Parts: sequence; C-alpha cells; structure tokens
Amino acid sequence: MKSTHFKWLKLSVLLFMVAGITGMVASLGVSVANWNIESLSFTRFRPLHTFFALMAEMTGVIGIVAILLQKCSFRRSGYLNIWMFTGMTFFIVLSSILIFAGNFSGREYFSWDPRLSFLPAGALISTIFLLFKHYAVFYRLSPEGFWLLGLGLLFTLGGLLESHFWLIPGIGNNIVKDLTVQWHGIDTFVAGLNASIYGGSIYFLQSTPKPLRKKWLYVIAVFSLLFTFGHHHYMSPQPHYLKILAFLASMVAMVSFIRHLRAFLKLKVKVNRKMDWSTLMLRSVEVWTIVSVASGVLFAIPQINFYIHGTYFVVIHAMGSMIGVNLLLIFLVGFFIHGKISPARERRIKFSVWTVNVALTGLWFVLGIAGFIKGLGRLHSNYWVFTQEMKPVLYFFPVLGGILTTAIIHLGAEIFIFQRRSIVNEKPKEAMLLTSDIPAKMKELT
Amino acid sequence: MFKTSSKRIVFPVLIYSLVSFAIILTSGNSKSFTLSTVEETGLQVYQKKNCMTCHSMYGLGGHIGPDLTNVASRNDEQYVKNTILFGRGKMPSFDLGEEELRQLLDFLRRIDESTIYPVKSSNDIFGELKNEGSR
Repeated sequence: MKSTHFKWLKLSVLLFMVAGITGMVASLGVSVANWNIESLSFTRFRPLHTFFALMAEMTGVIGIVAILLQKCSFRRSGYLNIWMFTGMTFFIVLSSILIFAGNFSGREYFSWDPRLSFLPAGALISTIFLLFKHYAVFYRLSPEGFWLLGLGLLFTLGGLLESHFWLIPGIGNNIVKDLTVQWHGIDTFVAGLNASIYGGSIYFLQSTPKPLRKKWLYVIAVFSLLFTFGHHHYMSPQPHYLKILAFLASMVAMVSFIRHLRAFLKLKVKVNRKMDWSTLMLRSVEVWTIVSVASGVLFAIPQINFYIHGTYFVVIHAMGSMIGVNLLLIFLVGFFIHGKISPARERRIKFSVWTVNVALTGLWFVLGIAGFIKGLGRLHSNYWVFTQEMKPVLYFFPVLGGILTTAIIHLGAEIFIFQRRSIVNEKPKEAMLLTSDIPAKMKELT
Repeated sequence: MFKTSSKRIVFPVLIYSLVSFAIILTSGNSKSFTLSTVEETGLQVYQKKNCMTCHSMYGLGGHIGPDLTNVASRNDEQYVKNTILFGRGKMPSFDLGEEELRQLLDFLRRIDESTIYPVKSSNDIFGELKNEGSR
C-alpha cells in the first residue's frame, strides 16, 4: 500500500523528465530550418510536451496529498488511491500514444481526446474528496496550506471541466464564446495547479501552522484568479467589460508581487557556495516566483501586452513558472520525504539546481529577444521577414533546452535513487510535517 | 476559525461558477460569431489537423507559423489553398479533399470577418473590430 502513495510523486517526476525531452525535440522543430523528420515533428511533440507538463503537475499535487494522507495513517484511502493511480496511468499512456499517432483534440494545452477526460477528472474528484474528508487534520496543521490546497484543487477541477464546454452546442460553434470560455478554463486550471502545489508544499516546508491571512488579501487573490484570464483577449472581440476587469485584476496582482518581493528582501539572502541544497532550491523557487508574478503583471499592461501578446515572451513566462516554481517545489518535496543526502550527492544536486537556474535565465534572454523581434517586426514588416530575423537567436533554444532537460533528468534520477531509503512507514509525527529547517528535519528523519 | 476557512473556499467556488456562467452568457453574442454548419465542419478540420500547434488566432496558439486571423483577406485564395495542399517553408503539406478544403477556407473567412489582428497601431490596445456592431 505504501508504495502507491509514492508512485504518484514518482510518476510526476518521470513525467517532468519526459516533458523536458519532448520539449527539447519540439524546440528543434522551432530552430532547425529543415526539420523534416515526420515522427519527430513539431506538430506531434508540442502537444505531447504540454500534455506531459500538465500531467506532471497534476500527478505531483495528487502525490503531495496522497503522501500527506498516508503520513496521517488514513489507510482506507489506499484502495481509492490504487484505482485513481491505475486510471491516471492508463489515461496518460493511452493519451500519449494517441497524440503521437496524430489523434489530437486540436485544442490548446488540453490536447488529448476529450472522451478520456473522465479519468483525470475522476482522479481530481477523489483527491478533493479525501482531502476534505480529513479537513480537520489538514486545517490544524496549516490553515493557509489547507485553503490553498483545497481551493487550488477545486479550481483545477473547474478549469478542467470548463475546458470541455466547447463540446456543448452553442459554445463550440461560436468562435468568440469558445475562445473566451476556453482561456478562462486554461487560466483557472493552471492557477489552480499553482495554488495547490504551493499550498501542498507548505506542509513540508514550514515550521509553524500558518494562520489565515487578512480578508482583503483573499478578496484580491480570488478576484485576480477569476479575471486575469481576460488579458489573453485584449486583441480578440470578447466583451469590453471583460478586458477592463482583466486589466484591473492583473494590476491588483501587483499587491502579490510587492508582498513576495518584500518577503524575499527581508530574508537578506546571500547566495554562496556553502548554501545547502534545500535552501538553494527554496531560494530559487522564491526568485522564480517573483520573476513570474512580475512578468505576469507587466505583460497584462495593455500597452506592453500590445507588443508581447502572441510572442515567445509568453512561452518563457510559462516556463519560468512551471519549472522554476512548480517543478522545483515538487522535486523539493520528493527529496524531502526520502532518506539522507550524502555530501557528494548534495554537491551534484546543487550543481543541477544551479544549471536549471542558469538555463532558465538564458532562455529568458533568448526567447525575450525573439519576442521583441516578433513584437516589433509584425508592426513594420511581415511574417517571413521577422521569422528570418529571429532565426539566429532561436538556435540557442534547443541548446539551452537540452541543458535544462539534462539537469531535470539528473534531479529526477536522484529522487528515484532516494526512494530506496523511504521513511514513509515510520509512525506519523505531525510536527515533522511542519518543519522549515530542512537540514535539521532530514537529520531528525534519518 | 475553520468556519472562516470553509467560507473562504465555498464563496470563491460560488463566485467562480457565477463568473463562468456570466462569461458564457455575455461573450460572442453577435450572430456574426456563430459558425454555419459548413464553417463548423471547417473548424473541425482545423482541430483534426492540429493547426493551432503552429498557428494562432487573435495571437492565441502556436508561434511557429503566421497568425491566421486575417489570412483570408490578406492573401489570395489560391495562395492559401496551395500553402495548405503543398506546404511552404516549415509547413508540411496536408492531404485535404476538395470539400474539406472549402470548409476550412469558409471557417478562415468567418474568423477574418470578426476582427483585425495583429493591430498595427498602438492606439488600439484593446484590439480593433472589423465590424463595430459585432461588439
């Protein structure tokens, strides 16, 4: 029974590794002019890449809940967990085969056959059911973590369902209604995942139960979460009121940015070689969170959005958030629940975390320059001209993607190696779940 | 304390449901945005061939190929047909029948009628409609 709970996290780590590889192949399709290998074409690998990335995050958050449940000895959830895991694995394997074979939904991000969507929806519903069934324990451990995890999972489920509304007659055959609903679904799904991964990781990373914050902060968070999607549509013929609401919601997100920045500056971080692996990972998460929120707010300013909308800026913004924040948090939990880390292994982990940071920074420059060229080029020239101008810059895309993928594969492999020293069978110690001093916690656990 | 937390979960979920409902009710209400049966089949061809992996509409979608919002009015029809059937640059050729091709082109024409993208003037930061009445 115990292994099923960890299998979710292992599946998530594996999917992140595969997402890296498929992303790298897709980036070759972007950069190499004569990329004519049909079986490795961009049209196959881009949907595969986004599919694996989304599934990695979804299984990661389910894995975090499963481990928390197991640690609290809710053994009865084990059977449901096995069914969920089997269903999701079947869904992921079958969908990847179908996508590779050319059977797409043809939709952005939700590229799998929609007839299979009942499986991820079922896994989410079961996870939400188990989480709320044991709310008392989760809430006592961390009110803030429970709110983020619970609401995040509900919004993820909502976003998933909403992304299938196009199948309803009257929505799918209306181009503007369909796009508006579709992007609201995508935004809610991703925002829900971000919130739940962050909320779930709180249980592993904090020393004291975090109380609920002030009411106005929740109002701002929910308002932003519900309406920022509209900034994707500044240029589409959606209702004008949604554009105004989107602009307000995105500017309100500035509060979140300032709070993150203030919290980070208060830490007075000094980056040095002696920094232990867990602190390095946590600080990296904090930096990429600030970068993601700041770029999100900036890109939502209509005068800036005018230039960056539909360019590679959007790609790197998503990569920064998915890899720099979500992947590192899930991997951190993965390392955290497994055994002792030797100094040699710690050096290797630190090297790979630094590599992830450097590669992501490099990608910000490369895709940022490509974004500028496209953003300005489409105003003054045509597609063929600015595509030629972007070419030299985009050669760096697969190179940096390869470096990033290698580092992700290494970090993932280290988690698989640690699995041998699993401590999951130990008697549940609630206090252990809330320890911020990771090295001290590792010492205690081993 | 838990009561406060549960309220903070229940209310956002209720508001979320209301917002989703409002979006469905209020967006794309102009008849010009509703596809005819032929155009809808064209949309299905667009999805079946996974065009949005490389192309975008209103800037939403893939980044490799050109945006297709106004491809119908900015190019000669024969040019668009040839590009689909025989490929161009990185775009592969697509084996579409006469009927499918016509449906796809009808769909692209309908998209073209909805708006102008990319907008060339930074005065139009909230986009530019081809037909103001359709807002």
